[in-house]
Amino acid sequence: MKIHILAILVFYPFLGWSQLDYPSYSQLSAQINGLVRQSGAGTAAIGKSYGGENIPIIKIQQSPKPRPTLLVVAGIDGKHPAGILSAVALAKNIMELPKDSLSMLLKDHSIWIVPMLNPDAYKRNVAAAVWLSGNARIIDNDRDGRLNEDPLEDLNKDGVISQMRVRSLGGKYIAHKEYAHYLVEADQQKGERGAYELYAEGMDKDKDGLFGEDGDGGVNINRNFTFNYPAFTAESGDYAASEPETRAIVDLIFDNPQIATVVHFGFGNNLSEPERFDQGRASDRIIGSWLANDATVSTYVSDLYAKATSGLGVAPKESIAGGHFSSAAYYHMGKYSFSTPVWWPSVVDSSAQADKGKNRQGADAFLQWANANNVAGAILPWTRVNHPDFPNQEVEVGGVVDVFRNNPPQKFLTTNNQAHVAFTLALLHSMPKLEFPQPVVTALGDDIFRVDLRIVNTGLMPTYPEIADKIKHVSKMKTVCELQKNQKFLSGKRLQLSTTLNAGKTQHFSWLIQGKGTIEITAGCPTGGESTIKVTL
Amino acid sequence: MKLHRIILPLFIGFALPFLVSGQTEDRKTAVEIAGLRAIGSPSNPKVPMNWSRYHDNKQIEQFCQDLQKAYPQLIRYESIGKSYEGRDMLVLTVSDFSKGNVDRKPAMWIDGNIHANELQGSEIAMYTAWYLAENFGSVAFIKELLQDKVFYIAPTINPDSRDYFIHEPNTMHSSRTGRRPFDNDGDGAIAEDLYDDLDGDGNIVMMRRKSKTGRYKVDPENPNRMVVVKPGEVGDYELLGFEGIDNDGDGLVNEDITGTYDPNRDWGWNWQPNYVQNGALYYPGTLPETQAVKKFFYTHKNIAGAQSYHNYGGMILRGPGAAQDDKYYSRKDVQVYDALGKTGERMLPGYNYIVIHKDLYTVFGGEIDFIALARGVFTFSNELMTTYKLFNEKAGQGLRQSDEYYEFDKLLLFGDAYVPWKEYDHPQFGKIEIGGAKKNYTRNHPGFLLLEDAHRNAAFTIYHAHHTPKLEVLDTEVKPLGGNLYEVNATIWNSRIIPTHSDHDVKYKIERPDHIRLEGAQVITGLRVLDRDFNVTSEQKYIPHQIEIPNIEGMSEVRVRWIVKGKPNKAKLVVDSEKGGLVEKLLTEN
Repeated sequence: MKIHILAILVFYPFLGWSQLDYPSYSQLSAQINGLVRQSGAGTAAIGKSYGGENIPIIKIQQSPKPRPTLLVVAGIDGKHPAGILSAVALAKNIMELPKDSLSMLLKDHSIWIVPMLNPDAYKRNVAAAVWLSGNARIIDNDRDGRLNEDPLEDLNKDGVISQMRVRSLGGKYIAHKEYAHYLVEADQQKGERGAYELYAEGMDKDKDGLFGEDGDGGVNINRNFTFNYPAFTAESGDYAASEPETRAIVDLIFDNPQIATVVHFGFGNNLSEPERFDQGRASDRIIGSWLANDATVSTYVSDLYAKATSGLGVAPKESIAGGHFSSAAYYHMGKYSFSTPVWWPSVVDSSAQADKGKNRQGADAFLQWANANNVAGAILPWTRVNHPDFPNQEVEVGGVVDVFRNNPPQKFLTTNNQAHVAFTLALLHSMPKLEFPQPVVTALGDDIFRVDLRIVNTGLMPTYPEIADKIKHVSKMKTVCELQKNQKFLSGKRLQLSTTLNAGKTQHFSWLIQGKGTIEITAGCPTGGESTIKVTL
Repeated sequence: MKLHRIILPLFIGFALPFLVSGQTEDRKTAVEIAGLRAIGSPSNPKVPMNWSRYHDNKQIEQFCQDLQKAYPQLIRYESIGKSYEGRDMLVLTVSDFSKGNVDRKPAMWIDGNIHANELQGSEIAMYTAWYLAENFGSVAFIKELLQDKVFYIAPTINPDSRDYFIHEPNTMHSSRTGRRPFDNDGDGAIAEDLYDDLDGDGNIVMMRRKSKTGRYKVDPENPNRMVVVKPGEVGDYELLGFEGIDNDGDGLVNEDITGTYDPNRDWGWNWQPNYVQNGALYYPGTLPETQAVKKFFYTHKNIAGAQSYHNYGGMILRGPGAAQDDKYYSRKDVQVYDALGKTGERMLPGYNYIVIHKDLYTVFGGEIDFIALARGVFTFSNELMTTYKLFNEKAGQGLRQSDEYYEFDKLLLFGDAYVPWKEYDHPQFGKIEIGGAKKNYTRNHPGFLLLEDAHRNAAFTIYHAHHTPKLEVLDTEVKPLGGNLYEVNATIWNSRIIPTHSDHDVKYKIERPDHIRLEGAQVITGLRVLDRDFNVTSEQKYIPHQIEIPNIEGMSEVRVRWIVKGKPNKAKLVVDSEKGGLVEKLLTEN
């Protein structure tokens, strides 16, 4: 493998196709560290990756005092580096807001950004120009007892890993009708006969019939989270949360109860289509659907999203698979949790808008986009190679370079990034905000006082999702009324816990207290804001 | 006869000085005098132990040191990690270090005390190590066992809470957890409402209060015992729970004791959050203790059998913990469990061999499931102590209605098990009485029963370990094929019940296949012989000198064949299995 990397470095300028124009790991790290410094919030890392890299965090906040916080996480699956760049752009854009609008924004809320949860992946991928999911752990991906014995290989030495097609009788694939370099499955129902087998560019070194199935690329962090964890599947790790990256982000969320909402930039989309409430699955012992109130919030946030991203074309439906960060953040960490790929291939022009038939979905959208924009290096012509595993067959390398499907050259990201800044700000404006009007004190005579307190959620989202009320380790709505030594409760308790407070709703508390003096009421919750009020009786 | 009587003392007289001086050398066994040896137990152990008591961490470590010092060829101990409070997690490795590569012998894992109030798992684990070492020289079976196998024995995998249970006020049920503080009642404060030893007697027992509407009365047969009155009958007392006060003023007593999490819900198989599985934390492995054990399993792939001790109820449990995991237990695997478990029922009178989710309750994220399903290891968990042991008979009624504990205390323990009721002025409840069973009663064995159950359970794990795979080369054959070509045939067999891979392991490729290698020969091709009589073979194209076998089943054989160039005079056959061990044989030694 090392020799091949060397070969790429040596021959790239002469033979290579365009690589993604993404910054090197050190350039990207410097950029992130610059933003961390600029934010002035200190702590630059939430932990270390398996490979020993720092996992950076950018905290955009007015002061270290916890405020209800929006957390943005990117760079979980190494195949989605665009998410990292978008998260960095988000941080940059927000910090460059005019001073007064920024301080308005941060008066009641904070934004934390973990732009690169899986630094091992970016570091390795950008250097090798091969985009793989996992961290730096060496794993036995095909579970045969041998490590990395069958890596992907750049057979034609063009500097990239693309596809490999083998002309064979009974092959499953044929060329796409419009885009000749793209193979699709033959549809016998339409009278098509397959002509090719399709593989990733590589050899079958371990003779197990699979090509390049066990090379670099460790555990995919986005398959390592606890909800619906896919045991014994490729790249999911030995067990749920086996990886330090996984544990670092979960610990961050539990250790900082003020984190109210989580947005993931990467694979999986529950913003274009909101989460649906499913009565049956919501009442299973293992809850498998967003709860009713939470699904309502999801619909509201999806509307915000649709408005902010209306200019970006139709986003692909991308289901959130088992072991994904976003579902664990909702079901197991009790946060509103959203995921978007930020960028998707889309050709938006007036004629396309007029004629919906032209606006393609899925693979076709990608082909249309790559073609229309002449994206160098995304789809390659087929070139003949000699392949020892197929001595008597025609083997060609070319076709799609996988990474481009979800990660365009940088200039294509700009519009999408702007739209997602707008969405993030809209979401931030919607987050819960608890307000505490001065309590009403009624003297009932004989040093007996009634104290009435109202707590109002003036935000547009509940203080926390309904599911959080089920999770022991998520901080709840709490009201504590401290008395002086000479005072006592005739009615009401010192400490009261209550469930989440919906948007626009008011909660009442009432105490009957005997004895004069100043009482101190602390109320609220970390995700909605807390306040301490002194009342003199 | 007379001659013997003279010769024996003479011999002892001569030999004794040598034996004494021999102690400074590497003498493996202690002196046994047949008439002093109670069969099965050493009469003169090198590490004298009292197995009718419990041990704290300091004493456990002392035991490990003493045993290693006495038997350096059989015992090594190490720390596999630190607990939350920084205590060492000790593991004893027991094997004959002079024979073979210990790291490659099929291994038996034994742990105890994951629930800290369940003390006796530690003593039984320690007893196992002690018994193996002290009997190595006198019992041929044990000698062979330690030549073939290795035991990894972790007396306690919850050391922090063990000491807390032993040395601080607790009930028989409290301190099941560990010592990492969490906010258990969601009020943002941590461990703010603990038990309180109100009368300062070192015991946390029950509180009762005289009440006209109470539904309890004192058992006329036994003043320690409270019984529920019959419908229509007027009671005298209400029960107010364990000793304590409302420390945080939320109207609840003892509702936020240290860590009500459960370390046995912190493991990496079918983990679920606390609203599905009470006791779970953030993710499997939130605790350093479970992480250390998991790491040990991934770095010791030779572990082929496992036992995790709990109390109580007299059960030999197998997985799965949750019904939806039943699909991972194939008929073949269940047959292996049944063969071992049913023998266990015979060895452990009063214990029943049962399935966790069917016969006990559902557990998500438990240790047993992690070991059995994430690692493919045949695993049991014994729930130690059962009321059967009190009078060697099945209880007439269910556990909670049974008065056998009271009767047993009266007849055999003479009242040591209970704190008699006495009056106390409670700041919130007023005049109450405090009394009831001490923390080491009901769940933990009374002293004199501990030794017997230690031996029976140790014997069951020894039986379990004995039946981890033992691979043997049954025969080899070299046949000239004409020219310079030869055919090499070999038959390997597993002479024990447990296969090298469970069915589950084979299906999900948990462990690599077994390798049968021919070293030192020029291999042209390698074949697995599926049917020797009809010459059905399958060729392995990749690395043909090393045939990969998905599994060598219990009490079964596999056959392999190579075609080699040149007479394989110096060739060596190597059987290399993660859970089945490493066996080497020269083709010439037939």
